[in-house]
Amino acid sequence: METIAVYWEENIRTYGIQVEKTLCLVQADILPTRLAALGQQLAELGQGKTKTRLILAHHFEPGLLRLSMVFEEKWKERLVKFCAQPAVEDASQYIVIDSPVEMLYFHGPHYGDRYGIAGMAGHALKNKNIRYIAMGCSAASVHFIFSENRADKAKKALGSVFKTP
Amino acid sequence: MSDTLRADGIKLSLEMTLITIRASLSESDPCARFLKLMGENRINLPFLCIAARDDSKSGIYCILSEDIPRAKRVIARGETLATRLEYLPSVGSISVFPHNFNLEFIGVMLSLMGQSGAPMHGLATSISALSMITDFSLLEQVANYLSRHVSLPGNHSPFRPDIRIKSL
Repeated sequence: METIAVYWEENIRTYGIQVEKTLCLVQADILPTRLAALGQQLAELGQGKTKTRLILAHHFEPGLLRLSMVFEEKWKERLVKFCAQPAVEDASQYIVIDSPVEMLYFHGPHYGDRYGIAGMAGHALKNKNIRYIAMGCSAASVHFIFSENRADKAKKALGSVFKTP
Repeated sequence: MSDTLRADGIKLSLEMTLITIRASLSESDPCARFLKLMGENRINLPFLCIAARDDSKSGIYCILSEDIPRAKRVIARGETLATRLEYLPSVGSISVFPHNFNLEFIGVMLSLMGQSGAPMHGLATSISALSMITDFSLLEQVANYLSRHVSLPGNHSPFRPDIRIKSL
């Protein structure tokens, strides 16, 4: 049996807006048929204790899965070697490492079930002319990736429309 | 690779429709217009993923299938917006948690997803879960496939939430 609960909040509450800097973004366009091989390569990279901060993927162009992967910048050298591996190059139609980049993220109650949160965040950034490289919303989390020196401005812009502790 | 990867659970979503919008950055941003329109009309997007590069931007947006008729009516009023949207009906998300930001775990999940033969329409990590979008009809098959390769608590089986929150 399904139970439906109703939720209402005057100002959208967050559990806090966080900013992380000196990050490294790897973007790779891969053929979906090579997903298993690339996953295997990433798993092997992860055995070296490399941690990711965020991974997003979708078909940026038809037939090409764009993976956007964020890491701490301390892993950059390891990532450069990883991207140069023949198996990774072979799986990728396009691969680029961008650093430093910045990430802003926030979470909130029942975000996955509530309308308007992504729109409000996107609108607040657009109003201040702050462009992002990537955005992801899943479950109760909202993430943005920015070029250097934009995340603090974005935090200020979002702070004016979201309620923070 | 570790012999056994552990997870606390696998969660499946309700049926959704995936909408794709691709645009040039030089034009009026249809992704932003779409987000605004959905918010104004109280239509939830349980999953979305947007990326920009050079002069182009592309995003995917999931809407519960039960909300699609209403979304289409709203979109039709958005003049040029309606012509920019591509619809992929009947998708769903499979969320494995927690990922603990562990690249080995996430890499194995991607590899298993690739091996399962199910299409990967989208993927995003949240603070806890790795959520992957695939065909709705394949969700349980994929969940069973992942379950065979991940150690789950003894009494766990992939589940769908039985409580839903509606925002007024």
